[in-house]
Amino acid sequence: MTLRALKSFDRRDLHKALKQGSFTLQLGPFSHLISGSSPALLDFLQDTYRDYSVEMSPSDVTEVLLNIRAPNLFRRFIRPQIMPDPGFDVPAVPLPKRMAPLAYEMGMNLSIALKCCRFVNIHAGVVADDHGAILMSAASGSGKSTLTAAMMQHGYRLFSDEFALLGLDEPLVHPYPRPISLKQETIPIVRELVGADWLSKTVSGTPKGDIAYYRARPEDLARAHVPAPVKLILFPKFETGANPFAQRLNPAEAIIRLVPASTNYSLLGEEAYKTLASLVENASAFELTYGTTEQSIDLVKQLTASH
Amino acid sequence: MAAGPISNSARWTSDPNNYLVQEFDDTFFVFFRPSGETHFLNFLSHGVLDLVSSKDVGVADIGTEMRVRFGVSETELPDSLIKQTIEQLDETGLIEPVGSQ
Repeated sequence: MTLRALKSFDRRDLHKALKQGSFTLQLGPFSHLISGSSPALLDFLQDTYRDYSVEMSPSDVTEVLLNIRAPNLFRRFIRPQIMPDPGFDVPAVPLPKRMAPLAYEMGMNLSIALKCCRFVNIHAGVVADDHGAILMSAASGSGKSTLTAAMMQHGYRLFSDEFALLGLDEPLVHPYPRPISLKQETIPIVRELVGADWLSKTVSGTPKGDIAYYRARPEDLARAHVPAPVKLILFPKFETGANPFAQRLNPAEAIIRLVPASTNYSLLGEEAYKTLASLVENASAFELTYGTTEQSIDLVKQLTASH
Repeated sequence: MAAGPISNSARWTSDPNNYLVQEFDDTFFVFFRPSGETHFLNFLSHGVLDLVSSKDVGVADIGTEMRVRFGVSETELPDSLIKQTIEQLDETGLIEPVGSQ
């Protein structure tokens, strides 16, 4: 196996590997075999995944198998469309070909959410410092991605913006630092925070509105194999004009919120039950209400200082 | 699961090997192995489950033992509430009428 940074390959080789289905992305605990022939997908990978480790031959074991393809022969040529095909039936809407980045990221998320059984998956942003990880579980539109990006600017390493991967036999969360998905009004906020160079081109007019991606930093990728214990569980809630407030939650309240946030709790059953019980016993949980990103950072700093 | 309404003469049982319990501040996080489902029980539901897991018991005796365990009167914890709790536990499968299998 020869892993190299994606940016070290020339475009022709990348295109060939994607077309043949031999493009393998290694990230955190997963190996992903990706295929597709869309130039928009290749552009996206060369830009947003430039620092990720890839190889051009299939691994022995590949956990994610994702094909970005036309929904049918007709749509390969007439008003071309693409859709993610993770190898099992998913409710994926075909998208115009230029939206390949969205189809790719959706396909990656569906593959991990629905097929990964080595971890308990919680839909959450996760960052960490040397003292442990902070898990931020929230519905879309609650400011999770903006808070994750802001935490990175304050010295935290990115674990994930989508999934907390909780080990089944160890009280640890594992990194999976894919790019952070930014929607609509969060794009200029994060651009202001991190600088335009770190963001992908905006894909406009998608079913989710305008979408851009904040690349993981080389230092996040370099430590993508280093798990951490969870010290804080946060349920962030952005409300325009809200006074910043942190409400402590008891373990029962935390677990009642975490079970439905897990994409594979029912699938894993008893192992997931034990993992979540251990998680809430060993971490403090809070609901955060805030009206600005600065307020959210201040709240998190206060909590990390006292826990 | 009981067929029809809960009768006063029915006795209830549960196999403690079928479930796992974790207590968090008066809320009980219960995993039921046969169904693979997770349930959140309050102290009364858990008290009933705990009791019928140790011996087969009828509605009246469950009520009496729960009132003693929690130090409350029959007005505060009437048999109707015990029956309702039994019905809910029966629906989950956590408890069952003796002789139902």
